[in-house]
Amino acid sequence: MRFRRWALVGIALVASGAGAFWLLTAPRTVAAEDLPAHTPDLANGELLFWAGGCASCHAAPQSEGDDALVLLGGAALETAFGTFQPPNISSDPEHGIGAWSAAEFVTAMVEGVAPDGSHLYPAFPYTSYRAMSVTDLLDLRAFLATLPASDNEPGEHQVPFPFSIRRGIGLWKLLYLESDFSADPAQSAAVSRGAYLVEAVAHCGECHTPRTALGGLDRDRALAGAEMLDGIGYAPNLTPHEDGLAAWTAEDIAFALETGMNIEFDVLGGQMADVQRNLAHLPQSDLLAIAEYLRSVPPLPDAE
Amino acid sequence: MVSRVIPASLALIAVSCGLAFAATTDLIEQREDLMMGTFNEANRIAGETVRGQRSFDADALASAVQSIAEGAARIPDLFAPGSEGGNALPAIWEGDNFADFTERAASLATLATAAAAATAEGETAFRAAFLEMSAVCSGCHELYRAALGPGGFAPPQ
Repeated sequence: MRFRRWALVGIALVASGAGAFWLLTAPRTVAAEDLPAHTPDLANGELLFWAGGCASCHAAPQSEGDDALVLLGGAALETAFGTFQPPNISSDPEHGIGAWSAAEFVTAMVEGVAPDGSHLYPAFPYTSYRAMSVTDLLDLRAFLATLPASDNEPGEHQVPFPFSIRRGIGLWKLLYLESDFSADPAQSAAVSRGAYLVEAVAHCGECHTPRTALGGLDRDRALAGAEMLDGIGYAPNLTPHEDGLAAWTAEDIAFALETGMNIEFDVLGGQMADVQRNLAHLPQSDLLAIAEYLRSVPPLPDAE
Repeated sequence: MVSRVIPASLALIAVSCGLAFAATTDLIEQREDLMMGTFNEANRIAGETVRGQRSFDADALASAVQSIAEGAARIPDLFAPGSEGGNALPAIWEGDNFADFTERAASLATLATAAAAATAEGETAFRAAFLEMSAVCSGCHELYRAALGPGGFAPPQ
């Protein structure tokens, strides 16, 4: 008798826990009617493509020229949470994202949710992209649609339990998905533009900001440098602290992004070499805006 | 008999290991001198010119990038298989990578020679040729140089 009562309580607890889990982890989507009427600007879409570094993960590794425009899947990203395989995001309607509606594309970029309603792993940096403006996202989508189709079928993610439970990413999102990015109105137009490029589009913090044990960005240490997720190397401190970029002028930073050469005239290596090749497509004004924003963030020392 | 052969062979092994170690240390030092000495000095002259911090001096630039072309030809020997260490990532010698590495060194030599020739065509031509060359540097460092540690943008010493 007593046993049965406890069993019922147990079942009720499990059921309400499961129900709460289910509600809390529900994927959010953007509806077609929420999108503004917009005529896409392909030139802006291309700028965002280079600033956003899509090719770094989705094109074949070290591809140059036209090969960098074939977003067939790319190299797997090995991390402590598992091995993530970037998908084919080429314009192919069957193997890529050519058949995605505008609402599905925007949903993936800002909510990290696939058209089938499943959560996407945050190895795809929607944590940053979600701060992009909807019109920019539509421009980017229009540009991606002009790129070649590929029928490549990349492998699957290799992610161990418990991270293999996609629904659980919904809990992670409750912890780590910031609501919105807003530029500081007191700052200049260049700094605001730089903030948007650094925080939203170029997602610099996804490597240069350290992560918590659960893999979320530790925003108190924003841009203060971090071990790379694949365990190879270190993304240096970008804040204007003497451990970071204190000795660099905005022009120094813009020059490094344009040419790949640092203030010692050494070349950028590691994954930054690839990031720099993408950023070199940006107009000088945007590189300077990035630089001026980096000069304006709070200086933070390297981790102990 | 056997008791004499064993210590003798052990001694021989020890000596040859020691020699190999010394040779590797020597190679690591030589390639660091090349990369962080010769190449960096040349890069500074060319880079400052490209940035507009130094006036365009065709002869000085040609000799700077020529020193890169000459040094590039030495790269395969300075990274001979078995000389792991320093800032060189083991990836250089994995799989078929050494062929790729050697090809990149050859491409650096070609583009450095082209940059030297471009000095005769003026500043704009040199800038383009030099940046094309330095992209080979960073392409190779992307794959084969140990990444920078915290607190530094210069390679770890």
